[in-house]
Amino acid sequence: MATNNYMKMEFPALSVNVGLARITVASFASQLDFTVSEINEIKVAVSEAVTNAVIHAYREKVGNVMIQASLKNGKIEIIVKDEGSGIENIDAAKKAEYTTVEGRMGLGFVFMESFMDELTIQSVPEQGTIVRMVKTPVDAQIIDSNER
Amino acid sequence: MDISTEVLQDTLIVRLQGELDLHTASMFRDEVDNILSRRRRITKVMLSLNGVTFIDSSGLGALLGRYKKIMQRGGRIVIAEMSPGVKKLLELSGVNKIIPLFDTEWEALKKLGLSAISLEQLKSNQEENRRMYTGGLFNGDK
Repeated sequence: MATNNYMKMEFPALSVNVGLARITVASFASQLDFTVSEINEIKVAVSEAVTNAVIHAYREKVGNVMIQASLKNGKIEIIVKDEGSGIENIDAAKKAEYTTVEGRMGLGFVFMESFMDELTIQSVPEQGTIVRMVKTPVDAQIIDSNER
Repeated sequence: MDISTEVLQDTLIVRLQGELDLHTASMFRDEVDNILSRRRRITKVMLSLNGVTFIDSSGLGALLGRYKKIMQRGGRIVIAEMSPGVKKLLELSGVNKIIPLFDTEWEALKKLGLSAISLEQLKSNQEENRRMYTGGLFNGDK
């Protein structure tokens, strides 16, 4: 079993930092036995969460995005947090093709949900949003169920 | 993100390299839209994603945006050569039902109806590029 570990990062909500965030988290996640395809899924999920913060959270001010990732009991937990405008209707936001910005696909939460094992969203208008995602390597899940 | 473009008759060929996300999608959009607005004769677009190592919903949105643009002038768009990871997202998002996907540039260009002569011309352009690579000009780069 891998040692428990964690990392934190914070950066201004700028589009140029979306790549930095997903590469850093993916590199951290590779301490677990994720496949190349699973690492790519984590990259997409982080990219979507941070992109949401960049596009939606701070419309009138420049704010920060905070990421905390931890490895615990063979799982990775990723928390992406902003202190922006919040999501008015979380259920609507999670639906495919729902978007408040023209020209966007409304697939952010759909990808987060389909690529991660768990997704929870907490949001308070004008206070911010916390997205929490958890993923376990598929190989580990198979070993786990065999041992039971 | 590296973007290279080539125009053959009424066809715009766009080759992308790197990661297509919120940040780079705008570069891609501006580059393609700029060419499309300057050259009104272009009615066909082939997007070659051979060098694209990552794509997310912002990148997919940019691809779909170019589809809408070219449809407005009654044209066609196709996508060629993508990695398994990129292909998976194109399929999961349903973009593949809107923009046809092809494994090779040749198949994609044939589908767009490019003549044999144009395909020959393209081939010689590519060989020229390859010579520049192997000739030392870009050594260490690849």
